[in-house]
Amino acid sequence: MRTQLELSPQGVIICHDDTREELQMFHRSDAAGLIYIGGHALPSDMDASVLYWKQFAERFIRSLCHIPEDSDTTLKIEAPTPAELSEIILNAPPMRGAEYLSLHLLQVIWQRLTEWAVAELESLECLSALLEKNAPRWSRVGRVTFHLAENKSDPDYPFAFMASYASGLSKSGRLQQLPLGKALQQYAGTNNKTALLKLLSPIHSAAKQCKLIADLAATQDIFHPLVWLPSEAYQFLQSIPICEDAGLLIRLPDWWKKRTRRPQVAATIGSAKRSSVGEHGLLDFKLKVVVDGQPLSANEIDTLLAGEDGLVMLRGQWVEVDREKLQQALDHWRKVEAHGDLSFAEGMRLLAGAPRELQSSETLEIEHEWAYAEAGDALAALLEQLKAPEQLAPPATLNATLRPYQLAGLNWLWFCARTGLGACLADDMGLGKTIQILAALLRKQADGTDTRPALLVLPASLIGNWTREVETFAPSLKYLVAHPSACSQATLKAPSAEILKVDLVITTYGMLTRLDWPAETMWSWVVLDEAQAIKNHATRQSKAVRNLKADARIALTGTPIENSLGDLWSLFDFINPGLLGTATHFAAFIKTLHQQHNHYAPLRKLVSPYILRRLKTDKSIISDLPEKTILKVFCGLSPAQAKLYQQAVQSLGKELAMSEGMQRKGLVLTYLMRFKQICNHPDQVTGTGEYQPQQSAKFERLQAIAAEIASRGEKLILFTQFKEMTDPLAECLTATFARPGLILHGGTPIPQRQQMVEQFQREDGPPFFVLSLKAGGSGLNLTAASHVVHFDRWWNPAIENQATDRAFRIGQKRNVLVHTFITAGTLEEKIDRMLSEKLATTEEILNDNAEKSLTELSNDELLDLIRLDLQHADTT
Amino acid sequence: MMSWDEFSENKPPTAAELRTLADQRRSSLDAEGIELNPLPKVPRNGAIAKSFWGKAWCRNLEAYNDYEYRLPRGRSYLRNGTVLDLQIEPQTVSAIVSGSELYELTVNIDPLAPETWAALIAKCQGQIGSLVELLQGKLSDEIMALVIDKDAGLFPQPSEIHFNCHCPDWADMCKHAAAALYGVGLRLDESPALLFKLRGVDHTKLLALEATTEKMTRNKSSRRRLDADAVSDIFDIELGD
Repeated sequence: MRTQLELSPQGVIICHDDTREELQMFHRSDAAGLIYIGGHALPSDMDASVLYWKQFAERFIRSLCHIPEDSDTTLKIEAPTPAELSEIILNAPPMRGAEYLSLHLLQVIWQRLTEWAVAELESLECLSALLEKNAPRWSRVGRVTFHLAENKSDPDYPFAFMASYASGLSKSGRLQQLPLGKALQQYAGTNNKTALLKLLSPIHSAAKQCKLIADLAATQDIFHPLVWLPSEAYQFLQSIPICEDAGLLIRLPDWWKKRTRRPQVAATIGSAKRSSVGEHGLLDFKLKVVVDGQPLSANEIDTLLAGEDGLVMLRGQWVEVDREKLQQALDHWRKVEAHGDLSFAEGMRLLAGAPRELQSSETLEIEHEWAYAEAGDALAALLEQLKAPEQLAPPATLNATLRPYQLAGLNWLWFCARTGLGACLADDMGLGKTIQILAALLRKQADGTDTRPALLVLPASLIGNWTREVETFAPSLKYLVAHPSACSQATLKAPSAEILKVDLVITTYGMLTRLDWPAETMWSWVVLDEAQAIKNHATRQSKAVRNLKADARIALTGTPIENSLGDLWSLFDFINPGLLGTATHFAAFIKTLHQQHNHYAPLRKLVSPYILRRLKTDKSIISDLPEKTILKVFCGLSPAQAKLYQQAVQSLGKELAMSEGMQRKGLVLTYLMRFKQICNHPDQVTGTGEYQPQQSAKFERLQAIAAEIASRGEKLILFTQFKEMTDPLAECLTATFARPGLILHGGTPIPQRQQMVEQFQREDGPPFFVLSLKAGGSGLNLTAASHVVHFDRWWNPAIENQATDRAFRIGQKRNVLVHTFITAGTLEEKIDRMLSEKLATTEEILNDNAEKSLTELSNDELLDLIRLDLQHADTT
Repeated sequence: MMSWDEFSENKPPTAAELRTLADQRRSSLDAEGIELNPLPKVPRNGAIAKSFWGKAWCRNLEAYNDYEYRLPRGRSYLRNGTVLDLQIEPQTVSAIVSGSELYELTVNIDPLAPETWAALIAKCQGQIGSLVELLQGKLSDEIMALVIDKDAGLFPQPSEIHFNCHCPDWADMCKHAAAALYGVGLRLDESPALLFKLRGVDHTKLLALEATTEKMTRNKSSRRRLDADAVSDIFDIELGD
């Protein structure tokens, strides 16, 4: 795999690979790394993410190059406009952290680049020395600008051209220009050879490749402001890429830059209202030729096509005409028109600026530059609603108050589901994807037009969490769990029609491959939780999921699937089949995007309407969120764990009957410890084994959560109360993050602890930190983490909070998510319930000697507490 | 037609013998402590010089009809490594060439006519390309293209070349002198300035900044100029002083 550059949630560009020489500078700072890749030629096999950041760095260096050398004012680097930055964001390739890209973040990176340049200039005498040292590829770039403008006073020569040299800044801070001839004389007079060379070499290198410039140079006209014929102006406009490559800055009239000053074929898609959209919908299609949005008459089109190429005056404005390309575009689109209505997927591809068939590459340029697609009235209205769906009140049956963004999410899901558009809810972990789905299901129930059940597919380890949330927030929702842990084999094999009258059937990815009836049922909705489970297209569970029939498809995931093309395609093949074409067509499409300057906007435009992602870091969200959110993570028991637990319950029962006093106290404490250990991992009790993750439901859940955190470039700290667990847990996390982390426990020497903390706090430092609660629970500052996991329970909220506060401290800018692991149906869940329900007994448990208080319960009370509640335990 | 030395010696040295003799003599000169200024290695086949001006120099030699009989032998002498030493001084090429004997020779070249030099300077001025090269301290594409012009450049005419070799060859240019002249083409590859030196002119005089820029910006073009007063408005820029 190629080395990627990763954008951290804090907006730092990180390289985790030590082997690529070109990326070494990123270990110093991201600004230094950027300047290096921007300033040097790179091998052709670099990852798209590297090329993307290289383009950004080049943009910065170009600005740097155009600063006058002898201006003594501090560096004033002209930053890109917000519009330009938006374009840069839209064109980002799939890469880790792409979801964090924002105007603000790019401005911050630009600022860091500026600071880097200022610092660098302190040790070097001048800008050219800086460029020579850091960006040799750019040192030939001068500060010569070619200007083209309209010369309105002369109808025979309606254009004007001038080459100028940026000579300095005026008092007002505006750039001052000298006509090239003047600059030449001035610098010759002072024998300033460096300036002369900077002034002449870009022109010289442009002249080598471009006849117009060569001619202007040979006749020395280039040194004087000129008036031009339209044909000269057009020739110049064609030469812009060569000039820019040679290091010349080009200033053009605004109208040229907009590029709408071309006659373009405009295809209007979806004007008429159709009864169905989505996979099976068809879109009507109309063609016209427009300039600047204004349609041309048939006469005008004929005149254009019969006239000349170049700049032509049309309706009082200059337009660019290339008859061959215009004709090609017309022919191409007429062929599409002859084909009849478009499928929904085809229409959406065209609107996104992608080819209709996705894989045809040669037409993309023409389709872009000489033609475009726009949504007709009906389709535009639909897309507008997708962006801003009708605001409805939350369902009255919902037993919770939705935050504003959750209500927006509910309305979006509801709109997508009702119109049959596939939806992917990709909110950050902790923002409440579950509750939004539950609210949507309740609204469906209240709406009553479709009473068929919805199907929810999830990993087995999540059954417990979902059922608890359904019962808490949507008690009126009737559900059935189609899983051996929750229903009989008979029901599982053939649920009666009666049972299928529930609102929601919950099953697992694994069960789908074993049962026939889910694929034979026509579901109202299919919802996938942890939808990255189907990212591998070829697996049996992916195939089983694709066989499901439903009117609406919803995927939930916290992993940014757009960052991996394969994942994206697989997910869309489920939610909106056909939109991204076959895997082969999609691969061809991506290749074309990569070849065309690494511009991925068509892909992003194509998929973004169906993905709703809110980040914890969004300003609008963050004000809405508490600083820390505590999530209870209910885990099941593996068969091995369940067996050990049952055995321990039985033997405790026997031993309790035969002991009393201090001996009884000791016995109870030993057993409490053993139950906790069993919930952690069977190997912790046996004291042997390799701690295979699949032997413990908690380990499996931890892997899933860590994978999501890893995919977001976030960091995690994990507390356990057992020193012997720190190594197995770190090993499990190392595998998931694919990078090692840190371990701290009572045996860690004190001086080493501070070093570890500093290492962890570094932006490109280790991704996780495993701490034993006693050693790491206080005094350490670990604010680099945005996730805290309590792998086992101390049963003392005060101690747990103190540990949590390692990540959550004053100055912490992120919202911290606390994942508290609880094994369902066991002692852990019951104590947790007592803690949260604040029962009388809890008061005692809350004190420091919580475990001791438990020893004072009667035998029956105690056995009741530890008994394995099979109703709630999800043995997987 | 047979040359005099072939006529007098029944056995002219073969290529292999030439190489062996050259090597032996190089070693003994070395042993005597004589410092040589040898040429870079010459390829056995193909062009002798690599740069376009070096090639032009060699081509130019071949255009001198007077010498056509000696040139092929001169080339093969050079290719066999017989030119042991070659120095270029103003107006003089001196060489030590190994043949059937060891020959020291000089080729004298008349200084460049002042009006040719003046015309060449004038041509270099006014061209961005040559100015860029001169500012970079280089002599390359643009200037050398002017320099190699057959009539207006720096190459000497046959009448401006005078040979002086100790060999018994009665021809004006013997094969040893021919080998040395090809050697000059080879040396020009690395150091084009030597051609200026040979013709007794100073190439740094080409860069006369003020005169150059004055010429470049003088008003003489066919294109129509924009009125200077209109510049600021039309291009919407602030003009510096």
